[in-house]
Amino acid sequence: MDWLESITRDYATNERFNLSVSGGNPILRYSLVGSYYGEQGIIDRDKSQDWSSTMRLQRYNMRSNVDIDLTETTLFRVNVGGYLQDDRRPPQSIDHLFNMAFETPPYVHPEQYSSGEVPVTPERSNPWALATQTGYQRGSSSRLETLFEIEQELDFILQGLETRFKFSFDRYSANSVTRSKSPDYYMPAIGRTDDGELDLTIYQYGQQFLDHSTGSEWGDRSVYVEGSAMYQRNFGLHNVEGLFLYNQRHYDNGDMLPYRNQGIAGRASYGYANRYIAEFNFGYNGSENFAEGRRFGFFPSIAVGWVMSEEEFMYPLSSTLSNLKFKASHGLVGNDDIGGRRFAYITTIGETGGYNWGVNADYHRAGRWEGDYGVPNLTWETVAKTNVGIEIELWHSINIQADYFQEQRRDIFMQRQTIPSSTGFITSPWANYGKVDNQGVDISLDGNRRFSDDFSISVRGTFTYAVNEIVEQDEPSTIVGTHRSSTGHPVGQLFGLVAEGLFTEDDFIDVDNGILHPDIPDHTFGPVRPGDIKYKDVNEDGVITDLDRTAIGGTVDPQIVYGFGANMQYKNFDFGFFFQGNARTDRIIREGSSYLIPGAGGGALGNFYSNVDDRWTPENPNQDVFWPRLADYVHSNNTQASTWWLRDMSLLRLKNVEIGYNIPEEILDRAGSKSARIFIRGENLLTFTDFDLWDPEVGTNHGFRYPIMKSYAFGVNVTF
Amino acid sequence: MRYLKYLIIAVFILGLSACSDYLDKEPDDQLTLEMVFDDKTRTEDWLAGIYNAIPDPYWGFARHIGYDAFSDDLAPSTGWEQFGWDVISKQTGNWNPTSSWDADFWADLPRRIRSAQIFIENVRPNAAQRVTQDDVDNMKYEARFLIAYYYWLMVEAYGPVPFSPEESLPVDAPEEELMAVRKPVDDIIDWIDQELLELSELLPAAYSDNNMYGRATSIMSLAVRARMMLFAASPLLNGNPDYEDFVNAEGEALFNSTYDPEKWVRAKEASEDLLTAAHSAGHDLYYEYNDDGTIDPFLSYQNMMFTRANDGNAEILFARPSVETWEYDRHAQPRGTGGNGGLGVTQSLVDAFFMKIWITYRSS
Repeated sequence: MDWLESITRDYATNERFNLSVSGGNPILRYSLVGSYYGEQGIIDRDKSQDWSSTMRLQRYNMRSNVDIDLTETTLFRVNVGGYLQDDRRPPQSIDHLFNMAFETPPYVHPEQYSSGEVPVTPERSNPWALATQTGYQRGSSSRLETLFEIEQELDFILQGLETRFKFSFDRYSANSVTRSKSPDYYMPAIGRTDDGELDLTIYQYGQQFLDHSTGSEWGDRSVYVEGSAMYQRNFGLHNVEGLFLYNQRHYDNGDMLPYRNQGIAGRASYGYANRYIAEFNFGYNGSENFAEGRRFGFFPSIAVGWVMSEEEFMYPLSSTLSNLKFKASHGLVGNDDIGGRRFAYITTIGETGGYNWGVNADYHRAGRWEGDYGVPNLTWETVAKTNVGIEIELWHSINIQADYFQEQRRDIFMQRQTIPSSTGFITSPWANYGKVDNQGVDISLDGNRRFSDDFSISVRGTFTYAVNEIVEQDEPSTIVGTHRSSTGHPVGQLFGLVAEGLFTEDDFIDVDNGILHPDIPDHTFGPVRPGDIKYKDVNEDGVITDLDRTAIGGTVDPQIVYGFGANMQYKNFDFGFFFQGNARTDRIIREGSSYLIPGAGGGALGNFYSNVDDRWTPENPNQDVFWPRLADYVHSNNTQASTWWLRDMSLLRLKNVEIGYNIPEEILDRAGSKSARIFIRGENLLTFTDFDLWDPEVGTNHGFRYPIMKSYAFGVNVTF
Repeated sequence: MRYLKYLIIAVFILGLSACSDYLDKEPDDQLTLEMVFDDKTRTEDWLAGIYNAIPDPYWGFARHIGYDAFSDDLAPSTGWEQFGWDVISKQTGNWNPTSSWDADFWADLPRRIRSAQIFIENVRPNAAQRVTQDDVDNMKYEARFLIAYYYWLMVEAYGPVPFSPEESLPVDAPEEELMAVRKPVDDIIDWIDQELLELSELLPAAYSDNNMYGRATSIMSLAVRARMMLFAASPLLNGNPDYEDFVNAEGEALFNSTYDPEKWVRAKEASEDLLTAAHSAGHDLYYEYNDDGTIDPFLSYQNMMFTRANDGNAEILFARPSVETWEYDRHAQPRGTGGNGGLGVTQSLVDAFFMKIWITYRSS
């Protein structure tokens, strides 16, 4: 039984319609966009049921933007948008379905017997039945986004002064209904009875009808207010600009108290003859997370620029080097997001297990104890950012931008790592502790060239390379400076054991009892036999333990991200594509799931993948295999995070490709249309990667996730 | 025009000043320590949270704490390892110094101890809800009993442990207090011995209020103390040469490696203290009788386990009123009677009992 095949369909469809109208007169302009998006998911359904559990999503979007000139100097803008959405899905989480389909071995039982009974291994699940026999969940949600804005030119007070006032109100609400049932489950058949019927016993009684439970309605709303004043004026060759801005945000999602932020920001800049530019920015922000007195942070930054191509001595080159600019900036940015913990200066009361007293054990009291310890002197985490860059434009058609950046993150929020549990703190206290440096380059290139009226090409590419390093963090003094320390490594550095290959018979003095040669370090994760992973004794203490874990590979987050693409137009045809890729990204696969290893769950868990033959066996004692010796239990020695399971997850993907054809005007005129274009578009059609067990982009160590879809679309754009 | 300018600036400033207290709000419906101890129910909740770590001798010893399996009493089905029974890998030898232990006394009991310290520092009378100074004092003694008891559980599991029974640490305590070293076993035992003895004079032997059954008593204090003093006198802790070189970071020997016969005398006296106090408080062995008036030893033993105090069982000295028996039953019962039949009794447990003919099975 291929469980993945069993719960999924080969393809799913989606459809999208857009309609936009715009127009107006000198004092009133409007645009109206309506769209519909419909999608079906790839989770399969059972057609014999009169309900469907296939994933389905329908979304109706509407947006209207209206600009009104109230007076000659006053602009009033109203944008209202939102959507209504209905969806349907199986009652289980999709990740859970994939998890089950990935972990259940193919031989346990079929999805359903020909006589209709649904089998299941006790305490396990039948992935097909979970996906198709347990009902469905229907959800409905809506979002409303509004923006009101007034822009007032104040030239009558001061030439070049303008104010703006923004108010926006967003609201989201959702509800759901679950109609679920469980089928009658039978134990897997153990044979046939004398009359040829399957010998089945029932395991669990289900129900024939769909239950009904209404999920509680939930939602959120946010109110954003912003007021700003801007000033911009040229005095001959001097250009002066200024901005002062106040904003506040109120976000209420039904939590204890609404979330609130407020801040002011300002900018002053001076330019001379479009050649020299200097700018000063600041932000002064307040956060509810900190105690009074530590609540506000001041974050200034400065920037300078020199447009060398505007210098007179460069004019002779201006047809080739049409723009050359050097720039540099340095500034501070703050972060008040402390990982979900709010009001970090207040000690909270937590809940623990309770206790029963009384001769009948009926005097119950719920347990309470200290929650998060309040730390009164917590404050903003800061990042000092330095940037130097160059902008080059050649022949008015090729643009190159290159930046080098450096960031120094300080006072990082973290929970203390070195307070031992023997102190009795329920959760480790928070602190501003730790330093991380980050540096890298950012390069982008784009070019447009029109070779003739019929033929033009544009290309673009981006490339980012960034490396960070933990300079200081809260690590126990016994770890600092050893192979186990993550100081000096990037954030998220992978750690694990170093696999030296698989044990051979020669490594043992007694194979049957698993007794290793005296000069081979003892492996303490469990008994070992030939074919099991052999680790390196990194700390040279003669035994392999968790203390031998060291930095292996890189990080999950890619250090290089790049993309490139091109668009071409020839007469009425156009063609475009875009590739996206990342590199220097690693994962230790299998971490987080012991049952990824074939058969590891005592026969009832641990799927067999197509590469299951690529494994060590006594008959094929090969070192160059994917799987070590397989066992029908969780074999702790082989499930350790180690270089054995380390994989390079680099990826290059043809993100989209599109061919279009513009219908000639002479045909359109007759239909009363201004322009019309038909196109075929494909997404994610090609993927180049060394890792082929699942799509690296799903972003897990085990693949139990709804996969990335290849998609093909056919469409028409018509303008009247 | 000129006054319009001032108007706009005035509106702007007004707007700013109106917002200056925008962030000055604190959760008012969130419990604080203050609120907990101004409220009888919440105060008892806190106390219950401290009591919570008293081990459940049925399901707790079988599953999470695993003492039944760590000792030679029973072996759970190895098929349950995949359901998270980490005690099984310890029975089969598939473990190492970094393997986890479900009960994790090392981390859990210090939390209960800290919680008890915070309780002692904060609990106070509450006239509105009729919590008197006597009630408060008794609850403080209970919390002190639990601190002593939990240190004993840690000594039983680990031997020497970091030891700071006096008061709760603030988060900015100096590093040497936060990173406390392990203290010698004898010092901790002496402290617990004294503490429990003192509490046995402060706590009542029993409570007249039925709802108070299971709260700490003087008998519980003496019972824990007697058990501990016996352990302290045993060869494991009394002059064990295996631990001769076992010292803490300050070079202090953690176990006394010289045998001290006086420890047996203290153990005997502690047991005598308990027996005297328990008998005078009305405790006695539980008996069931045959029709002819003789003692039925089997039923006396079995029903001692099953009979509650208010059904006439005076043998219970330290009651944990609520235990998880349903799960224990379900896992222990044979298949076909509604159970999983996975708790295997070891031969050594069988050998601990005499057969009808007054010899053990193995010696027959």
